[in-house]
Amino acid sequence: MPIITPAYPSMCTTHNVTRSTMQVIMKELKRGGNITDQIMAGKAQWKELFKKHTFFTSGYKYYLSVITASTTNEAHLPWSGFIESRVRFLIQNLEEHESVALARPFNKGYTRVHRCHNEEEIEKAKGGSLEYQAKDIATATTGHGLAAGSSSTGDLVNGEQKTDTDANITMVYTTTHYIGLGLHEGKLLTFPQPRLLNTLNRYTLT
Amino acid sequence: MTFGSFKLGVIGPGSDIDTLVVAPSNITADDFFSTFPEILQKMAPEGAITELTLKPDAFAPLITLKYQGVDLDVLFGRIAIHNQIKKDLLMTSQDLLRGLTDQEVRSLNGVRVADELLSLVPEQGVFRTALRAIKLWSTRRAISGNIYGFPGGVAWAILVARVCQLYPKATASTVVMKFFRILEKWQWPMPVVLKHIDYNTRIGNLKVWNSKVCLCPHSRKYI
Repeated sequence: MPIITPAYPSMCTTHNVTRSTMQVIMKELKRGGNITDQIMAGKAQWKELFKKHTFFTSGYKYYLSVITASTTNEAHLPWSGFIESRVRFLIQNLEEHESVALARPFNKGYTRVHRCHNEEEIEKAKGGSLEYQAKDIATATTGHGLAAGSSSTGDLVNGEQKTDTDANITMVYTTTHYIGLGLHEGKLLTFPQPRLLNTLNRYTLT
Repeated sequence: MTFGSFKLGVIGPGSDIDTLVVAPSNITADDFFSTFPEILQKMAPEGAITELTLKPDAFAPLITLKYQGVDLDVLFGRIAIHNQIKKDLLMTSQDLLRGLTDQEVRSLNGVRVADELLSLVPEQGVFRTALRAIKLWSTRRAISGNIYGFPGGVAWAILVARVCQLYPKATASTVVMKFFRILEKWQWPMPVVLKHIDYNTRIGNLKVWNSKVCLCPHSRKYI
C-alpha cells in the first residue's frame, strides 16, 4: 500500500508494511467504515470507534514472544532497540511458513526489570518468567508518539539507582515483543523447541 | 522550524517536538554539534535541559534533549543560501537543495514534507481534527508504528490529507467517515499521492519513488 510523501525526493512511507499488517489494517478500515455508518445513522456513538484493540484478550490463539535481555540499562537500550527494529523481518519470515495465515506484531514492546540471585533465576527471567520482576519498578512500553497510557523510560533510570548495593543481586532488563499468530485451518505450527527457536531467530534476524 | 506532529498541530501528552535548525551553507554540521549544546544550555533556564545527547551518526544527524520533561529533537539543516536566512523562508523550494549531499537533503525532508502537506490541504482546521481522530483510532486499535510494519505518523497524515482533498468542503466527521470507505476500497497498489511526483529534479543519487521499481515488498508480490 504505497503512501507517497509530497516533497522532493518523494518516498514511500509504508515500505515496512507486510502482508499481515496490511491485512490487519484493511480489517480495521472495514470495521471503522461500518461503525461510522452507524454513527451517521444515529445508531452508534463515537466511543465505539475508539474502543481498545483485543490483541491480548481475544485476538489470537497462538502468540510468539521475542525477548531481549541485558544486565545493564545502558546495554539494554541499544540492544532492545536493535531487536525492535528487526521484529518486522521475523514477521516477514513467519508469513512464509506454510501454516501461518497471519502474523501480527503488537506495536509496543514491554520493558521489565528483574532482580535475580543466581544463574538459574537469570535464565528464568531471560526465558520470560515474571517471578523475579522488581515489583517497585513499573513496566515501561517502547515506541514513542503512541503515549496512550503510562509509558516512561524514567522509571528504568530510577531502577538503576534502585540497584541494591547487595552484590548477590543481578539486575536483568528484558524487553518483550508479542506476535499474534493466525493459522490456516487444520494446520499446526511446528517449530523447534522454544530454546532452539531463540537461536533460530537470531539467524533469521541478522 | 518545527515539523512532525507539532507542526501539523496534532500533538498530545507524551508527543515529542521535532525541530530543525536551518543554517546558511557556510555553517557545517560540525559547527552545529560543537556550538549548539552550549547555546541551548545558555538560552534555557537552569536545569530545564536534561539528557542532552549528540547523535551525529544518525540517519539525519541531531541533538536530542528533554526540555522541562518534554522530548525535543533538534535536527540540523544546511541550505543553499549564503546570506542571512529570512524568517518567512519557503522551505518547499527545490532551489534550497542545490549542491547539498544526499544526507543533507534528508535532514530537510521532515520540514519539507510537513510544509508541503499543509499547503496541499484545503482546510487546515478540518484536516487537524480529522487527523486527531484517526491518530486516536489507530493508537487504540494498535495499528500504528512504522518500525513494526504499520503506517507511522506521516503515513496517516498523508492519508487523511488525501481524503480532505477529495472532500474540500466536508466537515471533520465526514472526512473520518469517508476515510474508512475510500481506503478500504482503494485499488492498491495504486499509490496515494497528494500531488504529481516530481521526476524532473535530480540531486545527487537521491531516488524518487516510482511504481515500476516500487521497493515495497507487499505491493507487487501479494496483490
